[in-house]
Amino acid sequence: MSEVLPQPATSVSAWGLAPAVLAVVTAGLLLGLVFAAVDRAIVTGRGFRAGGEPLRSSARLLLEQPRTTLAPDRLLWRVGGATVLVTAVLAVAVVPLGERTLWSTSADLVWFNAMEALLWAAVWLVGWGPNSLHALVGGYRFLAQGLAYELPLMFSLIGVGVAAGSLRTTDVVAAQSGLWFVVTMPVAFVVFVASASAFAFWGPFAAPAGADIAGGVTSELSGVDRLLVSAGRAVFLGVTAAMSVALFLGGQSGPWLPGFGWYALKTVAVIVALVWCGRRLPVLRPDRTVEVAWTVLVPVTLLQTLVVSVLVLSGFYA
Amino acid sequence: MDVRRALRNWAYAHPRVLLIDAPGHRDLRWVVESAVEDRAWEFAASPAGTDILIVLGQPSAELADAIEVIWSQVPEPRHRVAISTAATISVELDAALAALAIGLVLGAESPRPPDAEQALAAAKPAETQPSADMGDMGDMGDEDPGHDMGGHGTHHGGNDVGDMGDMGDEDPGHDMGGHGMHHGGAVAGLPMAQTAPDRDGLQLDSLTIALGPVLPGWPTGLVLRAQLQGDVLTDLQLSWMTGDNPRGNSSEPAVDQQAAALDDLARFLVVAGWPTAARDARRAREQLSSSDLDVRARGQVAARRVGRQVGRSRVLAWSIRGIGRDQEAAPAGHPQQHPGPVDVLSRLRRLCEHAAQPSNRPPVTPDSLEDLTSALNGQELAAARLIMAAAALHSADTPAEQAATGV
Repeated sequence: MSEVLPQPATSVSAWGLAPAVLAVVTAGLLLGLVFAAVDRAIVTGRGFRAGGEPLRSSARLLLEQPRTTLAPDRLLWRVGGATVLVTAVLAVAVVPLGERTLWSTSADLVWFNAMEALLWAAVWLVGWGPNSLHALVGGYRFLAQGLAYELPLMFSLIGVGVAAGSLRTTDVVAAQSGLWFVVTMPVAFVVFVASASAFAFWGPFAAPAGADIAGGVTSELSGVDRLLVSAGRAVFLGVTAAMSVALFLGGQSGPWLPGFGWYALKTVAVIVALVWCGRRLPVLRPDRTVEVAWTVLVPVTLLQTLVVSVLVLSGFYA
Repeated sequence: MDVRRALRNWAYAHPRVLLIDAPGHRDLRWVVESAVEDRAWEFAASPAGTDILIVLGQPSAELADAIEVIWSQVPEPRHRVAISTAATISVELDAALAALAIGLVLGAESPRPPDAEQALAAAKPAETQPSADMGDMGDMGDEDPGHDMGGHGTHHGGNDVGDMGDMGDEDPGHDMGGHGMHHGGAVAGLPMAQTAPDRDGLQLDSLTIALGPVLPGWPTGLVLRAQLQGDVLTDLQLSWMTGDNPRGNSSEPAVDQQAAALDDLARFLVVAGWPTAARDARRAREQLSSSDLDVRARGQVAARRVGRQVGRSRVLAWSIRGIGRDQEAAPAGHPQQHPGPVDVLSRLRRLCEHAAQPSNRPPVTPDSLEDLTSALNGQELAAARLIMAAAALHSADTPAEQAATGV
């Protein structure tokens, strides 16, 4: 870490470790709260009045006594639930909030993707743990869905990395000073945001927690365990919205307002658009989405990456 | 202390509700659903996510046993209400909310609620009579299959269609003999899954499961018992838990067919995973049931909108196309398969037409349980739920004693 180039300013180096970690955890929870509030407002059709519901149900779940099932795999069940929230918050570490990330690795995009990939294990364990049919079916549905979204998601991230010439999120934001990446890679942007709803099994991709299997992976969760999983899902969705702003919408760039204001504004706009579109659709059955992912999305995102590569070679992003 | 009490009251101001309607109480369920939604309370999908359990009407003995098991799975603090007339709903719901807040204070001192294992042990004495064995199936039918298998394993150790004939038989050896194989040991009293030939003739793990009698969008009191291999249902059996309750046999009071279609549509949409459209359908149904002419006119507009939105949704059509079609009439995978008796998409479209405008004809002629059983056999779990939802079964549609066995 002793480059000649100016070291990317991380919030750890600027504020010290503890305040920076606290700030990032708060930011993550806040993002999750905003997402959950917008989601409740649109699902219930009650608008702003439903905005406080996520806080209320969090308090309720904290007061609730946990229950268990017959012969559960208690350790793995608990670990799975906690992992959902922990990985979601860890993903915030590489989001350039306020123009700096919590820590900066040379592979921020890989870190983000790794946190999301850990969900495969976490959600499956939440389904496996209670020794219950509906939860297990939900867990397997999540794995099937993962087969659908994972490759298109990776290809859309690769496009961003190739265009920026770096996997560091602060570099990606800097590379968009001329033109936002969403202009040259709209497909990658849409796939990235859609994948977020798939790995948080929300909206049209909520089959792993579907009502037809009584809530699926969430069917046996109560108390704190349920809170950890639902908060983790909301934080992941909020974080992905914030990440999509950094990767495709130019981060904090914009006139008049301070950078942070623009960043927050764009993030909220992405969240509202995502919830509004996602809640207009019914759940897509995983067997159909896998088909589309492999026959349509994988070729299309590959093509997108090819276009980006050709643009890079022609010096378009320089 | 007042701050803490205020905080508790705030946290529990919008509890999650699990509705269990005894057969023949559709009107009452509609009124309670409207009241719950007016109060911004939520509907629970499973006992684990429930704060208030509401039982509508007088459940039969078997259903009551099943409700006891479901109740044992609801985490503290919790409250349970029985409502039998529409007049007292508002009072009952207010009382339930108050009781929940009090229970929260008391619950802090009381010991932990019995977990599933203890509840199961406690439920044992009630199940000694042969007829009470169906009550045990009630355990199986609730939404906790781990628990189900407990009830199952301690009684039978194994179960198959050949055994369904003598429901009262409590002798595990007999059952196992019927099965012709031994399972590989037991964990916590639960039998391990056994292998059996699947629909392609391969040896695959086979798990004895039961769905119902209470599930989201599921006709209360119906129990589906089957072997599950992967997510394919075989050896299927459907039966009603209406049992000895004469009310279950009485036909439901004549209702507005359009409102009934909207209700069926809302329940289908819950199963299909479209909560916003389901909410719109429920609201349109509520407005159509109003005595105010203006509200009814608005209800017609809303009904037309939701009927069109769902009926014309390409995404939903793409997602559910082909489910329930007759697989034998055309080679599998062929797009132009013959519409089967329970083709989900065409049923949904008919339901939407009836929901969108006033009509005197019932939208869907109810299937017999035999037809449904043969349609469901060999289906995947998700497809089976959609077929059941599209069939729009009501307990009053079919005689109580009717039961069908698949092959």
